[in-house]
Amino acid sequence: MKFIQKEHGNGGKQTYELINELFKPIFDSEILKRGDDSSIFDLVSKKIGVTTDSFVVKPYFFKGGDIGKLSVCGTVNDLAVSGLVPKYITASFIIEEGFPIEDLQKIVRSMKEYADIAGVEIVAGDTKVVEKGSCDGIFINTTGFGVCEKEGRLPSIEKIKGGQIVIVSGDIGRHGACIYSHSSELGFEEKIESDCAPLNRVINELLENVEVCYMKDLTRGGLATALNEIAQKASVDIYVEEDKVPVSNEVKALCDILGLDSYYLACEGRFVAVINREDKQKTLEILKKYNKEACEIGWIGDTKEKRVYLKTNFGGTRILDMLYYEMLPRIC
Amino acid sequence: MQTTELIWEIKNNIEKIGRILKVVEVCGTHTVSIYKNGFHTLFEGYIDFISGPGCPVCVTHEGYIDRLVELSSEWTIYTFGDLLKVPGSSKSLSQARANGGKIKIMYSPVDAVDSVENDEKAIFAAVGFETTAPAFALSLEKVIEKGLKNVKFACELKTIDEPLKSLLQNHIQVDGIILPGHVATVIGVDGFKFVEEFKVASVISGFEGYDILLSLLSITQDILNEDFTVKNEYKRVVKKEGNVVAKSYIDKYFERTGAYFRGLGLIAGGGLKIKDEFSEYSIDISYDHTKQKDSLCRCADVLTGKIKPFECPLFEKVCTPISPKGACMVSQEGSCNAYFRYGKWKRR
Repeated sequence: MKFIQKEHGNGGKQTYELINELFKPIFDSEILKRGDDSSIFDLVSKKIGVTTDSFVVKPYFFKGGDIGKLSVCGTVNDLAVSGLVPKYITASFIIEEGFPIEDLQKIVRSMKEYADIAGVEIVAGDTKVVEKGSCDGIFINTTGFGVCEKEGRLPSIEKIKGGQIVIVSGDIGRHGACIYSHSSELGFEEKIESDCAPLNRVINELLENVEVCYMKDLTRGGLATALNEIAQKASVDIYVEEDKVPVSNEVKALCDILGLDSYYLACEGRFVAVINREDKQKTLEILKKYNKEACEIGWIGDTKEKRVYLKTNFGGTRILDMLYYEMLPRIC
Repeated sequence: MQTTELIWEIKNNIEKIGRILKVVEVCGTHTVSIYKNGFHTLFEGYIDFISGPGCPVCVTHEGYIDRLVELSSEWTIYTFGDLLKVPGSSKSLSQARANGGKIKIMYSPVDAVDSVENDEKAIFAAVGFETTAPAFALSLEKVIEKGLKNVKFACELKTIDEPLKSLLQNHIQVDGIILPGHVATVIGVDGFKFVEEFKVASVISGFEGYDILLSLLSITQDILNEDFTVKNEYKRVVKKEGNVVAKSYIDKYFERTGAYFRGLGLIAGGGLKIKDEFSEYSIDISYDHTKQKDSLCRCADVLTGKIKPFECPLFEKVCTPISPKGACMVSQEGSCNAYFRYGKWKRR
């Protein structure tokens, strides 16, 4: 088996070979193949969005994905929930000396596969190799560019008001539970698949048919943290009904054993949307085509304490606060 | 019984009793379950929940932390993770680690024996009640069997009976007690028989929301019937005699000693120490329990039900789960922590 060596990052012949023999053939982008210091491309839109994210997930292969897929989906999803159509992304790699080249190939192929699925092109990249021990295997940074195709349909925090409803696009906590199950060595590895997936197609269909007031993808900190951020930014209270929040039995079981709270587990292919009540049926029709677990979980209240309240299964009420503890070592 | 019927029945019983019931839950896991399921709002005007001294992190004296911090420059301290952030008089174990102190997290005291390097001088921070005591007994046995001379135990283990007696005798008057299911797994229903002399309704409870509701129903029925025998709602786990093997391990390696509990003070027979015949495996961690850092922190009053967490002047203002000033905010099972995360809005 071949491994990454320090020389693969020295900017010389071996770097050149790595880029030309591994990255370029797999990413297969005409813009990237030019190999210029900057990639030049067209973006015909008045409004352009940009987002960047770094990925350090451990383990870098997990059930339902790998760090490559995650690095594409994470950035695509950040653009999509902002109401933008993702077009181009860049990819920067920091690789530890001794990393298996076979694993790198798998990761890069996975990036290409999900870039194709999401309809984005990988147009620029960089590779650095660091000494053994200076990073943990592989870290990837991706930056994404998206365009606004119809300005009127951009969701915005100002559109949130009392009486609207909150929808979640699928069952929560799968990615966090998947990563946790890998590290806990409880034998759950084969049971829980990460929800990591690009969301731009479902979101695009939603935006074409419904006025979405606001959207947020559920990443680190899970559903609870995303809802708290919305409550803070929009200065509203959000009410969530515990018995409506979809959580799979596998995730519930893991949470019970390890004392975790599914509301805080990361997702990498789920989002919440705030919509007007009259759009509920149409919204759920669209979302359920992609994930049958999509459902209404709560509503925006008329009070403005900036809190998220959970109506429990027993009929009590409690705060659903932001995440205060590091639940997972490295989840994305 | 359906949940709604159960809740109705509990409330109906309390209306018959005719006053707001004071119910103390001894174990931190119960505290969390009560808040997490929203029972503090569901039974508002019916039950006043008081958190007792059953969270080992919450009752630990800062002097113990100080001793571990001191020792961490020379010894490697093996500890459960929840002890890391407990404030000592100058620093926590977590801060000591950041300053170069040798501190390792363990999940199982038995497995941790295998992690100790030959040239490492290790101290196992033995904290907890009868629930964790058997694990430390097994750990000690493994150390003896392997002939390890480089592992010592800093024993601060506690028992539940004496502090509970002290709480009921000297500190609070309650109508009902939710007894800790985990400790009961080891000491059995028999281990809690002493509660009956206090003429208070009591029940050993599991930790799911439904367990708590069944336990509350049992408490209200017992008050109406003036029946003060200890009940066992957690029958699927807790036996009358407890776990005989686990108890025999505790008896083999430990004996009763006085122990300090935050809020309750020094309690005779409230702790466990390693028996003299195994004293070579014990390290002296004695500290002056009368010495306390000046602080506005009122954990002691919270632990004895004198005040609610939000009545402490530090609560939420400077004492939060991110920057805890007192032990009850450190532990995820501490009452201040549970109140902060799940119920802090109630005071408004």
